Amino acid sequence: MMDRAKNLILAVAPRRLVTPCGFVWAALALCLLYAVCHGLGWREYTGFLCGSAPLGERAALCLVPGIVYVVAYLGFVLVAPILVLASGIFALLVRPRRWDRPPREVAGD
Amino acid sequence: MNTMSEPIFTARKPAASLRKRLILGAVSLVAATAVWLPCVHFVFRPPLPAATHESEVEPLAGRLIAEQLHLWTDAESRQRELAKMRVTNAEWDFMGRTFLVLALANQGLRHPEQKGACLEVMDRIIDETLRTEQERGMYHFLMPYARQRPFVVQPPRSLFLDGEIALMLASRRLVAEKQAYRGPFRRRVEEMVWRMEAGPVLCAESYPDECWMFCNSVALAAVRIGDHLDGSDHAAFFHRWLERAKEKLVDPGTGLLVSSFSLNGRPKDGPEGSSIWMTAHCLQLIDEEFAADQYRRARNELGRELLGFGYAREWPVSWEGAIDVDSGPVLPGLGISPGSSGLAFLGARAFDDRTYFRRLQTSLDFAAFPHERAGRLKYCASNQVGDAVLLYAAVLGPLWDEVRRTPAEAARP
Repeated sequence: MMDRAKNLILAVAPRRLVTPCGFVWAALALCLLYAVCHGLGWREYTGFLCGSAPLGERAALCLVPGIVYVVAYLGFVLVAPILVLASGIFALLVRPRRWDRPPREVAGD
Repeated sequence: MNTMSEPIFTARKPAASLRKRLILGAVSLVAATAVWLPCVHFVFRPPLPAATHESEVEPLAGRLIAEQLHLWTDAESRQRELAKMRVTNAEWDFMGRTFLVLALANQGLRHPEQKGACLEVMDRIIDETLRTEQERGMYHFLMPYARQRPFVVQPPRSLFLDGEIALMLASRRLVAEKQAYRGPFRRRVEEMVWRMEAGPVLCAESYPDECWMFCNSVALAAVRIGDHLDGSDHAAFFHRWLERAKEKLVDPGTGLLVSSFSLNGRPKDGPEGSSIWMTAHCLQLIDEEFAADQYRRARNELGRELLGFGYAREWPVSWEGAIDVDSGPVLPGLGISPGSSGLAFLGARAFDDRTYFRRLQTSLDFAAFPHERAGRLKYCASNQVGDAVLLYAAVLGPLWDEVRRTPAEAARP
């Protein structure tokens, strides 16, 4: 069961994303998403958080931009900085270490 | 230019296997989360406390007041905001007026140069509210279930309206006497006291056979200000009310006053955050010690802090309540209630709990989506009544201080 789960993760994991650089790209994508939502003025639709109902016949549709905005905002302020920090840590972890390098050839050998 | 196709460092070392990268990536994410989450609040925390609490909240108050005044001068914006609130709860339309009048009264007392402008808006709000009540009746400001059965005490009146209208009139008269309001205020106070005296627990109905601690404590505050203004004396009534409340209306588990109960004192809802913070604030005018005790208990049972952010629960852990229009949508797990958290500002400020106030402010800037335009500030995740509560919390002080001054202090120039 565990093996099957592991294999599934390995199969679906986007190879290019699971790199320090991939984390930075993901963070940039989240920032871009937030910038678009903010630029569209969807902040105004977040009133549902206090229980205020949107108005009009298409009231339910007004919830969508509000929810998307909240998700994008959380992505921007919580997830994106974590991804940037993680990319740095990740880069340090995958950095070639001294003992990983091939031994230097000694002159005269 | 091939950054996405190959992992970095591949020039120096062959790429780690996907399995290894997944593990290292997960470890990195966990470590980064452990670093970032405790730091987020630094981004949203208001500037370090100034020399006094007043100067700390002054900029916030100025920008909030500008938006609230804009809503009362721009008819289109106001109609849109009122319509939005009334769809959910007609009470918010009314309460937004009360909190704005209270805020303006404090602002007028604190800044005498603004008194004239504040009084003008206060009068406009009060006159419009009285006219609406007269033309459309009390049900205009009540939720629909008020019509489902008759009030126990006849003829029907709601202490929700009487208490807050009396408090608006009292606040206005305290800033500057207005003869036209004296009669209506006195009549409303007499009516409220008569109805409260008629109830077995000295409380009156806000809805049919439904008394609210919020409304009754607001009414008590209005009566107390009336004593200060007109020289009447309801001290004996206040004493009896407190005795009865401590005996019949306190939740034994938490020691907090319950939020709603039948006319004969049978509790309906237990202690609620959307009620207790304002209740404790109003009781400051009746019994300072009991009010402070209620605040301490509310802070302990409902006030929470997490990673530098402050918030409030609607119900104590020991009580299970239903999500309703007062609590607002409650975040599962943590139990964060927007209704209780908003009113917690008021409690924290009234009882000078600066640390909690600052942490609540941090949460506000993080999660309430402030929007500033032309020097006017509103919170997009809030509404007019929510912003009016925040404004009142930011400026409260002088109004209650004026009432608490002894006659000897008041006589001093």
